[in-house]
Amino acid sequence: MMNLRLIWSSAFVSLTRNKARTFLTTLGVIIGVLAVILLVSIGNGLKGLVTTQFASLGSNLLYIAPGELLNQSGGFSQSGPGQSKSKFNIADGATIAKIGDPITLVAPLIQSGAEIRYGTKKNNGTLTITTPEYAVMRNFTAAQGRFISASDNDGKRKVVVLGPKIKDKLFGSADAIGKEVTVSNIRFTVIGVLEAKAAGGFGGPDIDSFAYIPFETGRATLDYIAPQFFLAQISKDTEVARGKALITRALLRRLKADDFSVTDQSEILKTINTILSAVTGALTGIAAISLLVGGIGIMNIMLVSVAERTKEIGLRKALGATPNVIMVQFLIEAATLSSAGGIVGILLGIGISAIINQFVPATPSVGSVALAFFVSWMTGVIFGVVPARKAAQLSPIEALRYE
Amino acid sequence: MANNIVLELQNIVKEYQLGDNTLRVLDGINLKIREGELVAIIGPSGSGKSTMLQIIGLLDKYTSGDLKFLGKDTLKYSEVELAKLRNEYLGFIFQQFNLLPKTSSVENVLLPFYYSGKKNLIEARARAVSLLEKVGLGSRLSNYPNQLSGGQQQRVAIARALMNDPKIIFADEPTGNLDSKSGAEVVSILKGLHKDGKTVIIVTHDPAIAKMAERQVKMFDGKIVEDSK
Repeated sequence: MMNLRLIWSSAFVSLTRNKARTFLTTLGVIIGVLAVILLVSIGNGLKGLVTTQFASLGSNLLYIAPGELLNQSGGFSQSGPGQSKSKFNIADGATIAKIGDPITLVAPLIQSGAEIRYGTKKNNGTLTITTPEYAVMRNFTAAQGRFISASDNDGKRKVVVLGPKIKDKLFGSADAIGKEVTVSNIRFTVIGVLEAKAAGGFGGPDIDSFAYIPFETGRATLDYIAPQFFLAQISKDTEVARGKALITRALLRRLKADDFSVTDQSEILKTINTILSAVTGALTGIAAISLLVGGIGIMNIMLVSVAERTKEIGLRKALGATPNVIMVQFLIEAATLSSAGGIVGILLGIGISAIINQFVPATPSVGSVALAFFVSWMTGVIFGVVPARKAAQLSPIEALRYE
Repeated sequence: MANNIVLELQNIVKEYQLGDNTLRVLDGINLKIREGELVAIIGPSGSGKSTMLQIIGLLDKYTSGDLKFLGKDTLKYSEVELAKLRNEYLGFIFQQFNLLPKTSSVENVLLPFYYSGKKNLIEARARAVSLLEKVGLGSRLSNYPNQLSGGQQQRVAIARALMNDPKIIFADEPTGNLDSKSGAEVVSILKGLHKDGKTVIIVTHDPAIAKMAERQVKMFDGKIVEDSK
């Protein structure tokens, strides 16, 4: 058989003979591989982030939301929270709490965007109107001061607990406890600052820029009447299904079945992950098309190269190269082109993922890197076949004839 | 001399199909070439001498007739076997030199070795170097073709043709692209090869080369019109 070293060196020589062309040809593959790796790593990053955020919320929590949160097929419903008007009233919270075992805690919840001001500084965050139980369910820890207490709620006190990001924005490193901030022109006294929780950013609410005020205070001062959601804690994970059934039965006494839904964390997480996977998959598919285009570019340039090197191929055949040897030589050239593009694309992809990771979570997976390399290599082989066959079938007399 | 016949052509015909017309390039060639002969094939352009060289060099197929190479009928060989025969028994020298660009003299000379299936690269390299020394290029071993003169390039090509120690050397207008001094050098090397016992077949316009050959085969219109032997 043919000496591999020669095949390699002749592939190398012919690729370096025309550096600009070689680079432009590989560019197609570079961009394709880069796009695939970036999309997969951003998709992975988002899934990882969402999973961590949900895990930090606890798996024994139930969301009682107006309308359907998730539809039958597992996606988010058209009439999900925010879309349907809440039919809950404050008594529903008491109804749920009265069930007792396995429900340990219930908190009503109203969330809305709000501008919080301190002096000339302001911050747009999410205002959460809730009861002290919420902090227990969500494992909130106060970095300074304390969370809302039962007496804050009962007394309709105008107090607020700030997420760490809001605190930083409004107060910087200065002490916030006891200061007054303004929400909707009403003054609230800061009683606590929460510890930083999740990274926030994409894929989930940035709970570090939430502010919390007592439920009754909110109802009395900010014109929010009815709870938007309830959050209920179940004694343990294995009781979640029973808790769901009991809450549903209790609420059905007053509400219709499609007025509300009871959803647990794992279902929501599953749904979000399904959607993220679908989106990542679709985008990766689109990116893979650019790999295909890159492959066609390689085929094109290899055909040009075969035509240009008619004489060289003829010479090699005259000197004893068999059709197979010529075919292997051109296949290796095409595969070298595409693999080089693949390697550059992978390195760029890992580098750019690391940069993106500073802003949005992005983690390239080993699998996607290996797959990208394999696919780029295969691209060269597949799209190299036609030109290589053409070269192999050239007649050796071309060397003598071709001028 | 009663040397073996290395090539025997019997009534070789080569035709090309040009639309409805059939162009007969070789019209019944009969020729025997014995081992160790120096043969010059001469004749005007279009007389079919290059086509004949391609056929006896096992590079092209013929339409009818018999071609025996080393006593065997060549029609029996597959393309792979023909490639092997060329690699093992034949050496080619072209008018255009046909060296690989950006490839050193030694690597160019090694090319037939790489296709031979032999493994001993160190030995082959030593042989390539000694062949280059023999053609007077001992100081140009690692030069690329574009760093060599035409005459030097043709001498690299001769060394390449000799790499696998072939029985027959085919040269197609070997001096056609050279000045007279370089041409003379190439001719003297070819003469030396003949003296060493190689069979050398040269297609040429050059009367000087034709004169040095002990046997001249003159072609016209696809036929051999004169064979000095």
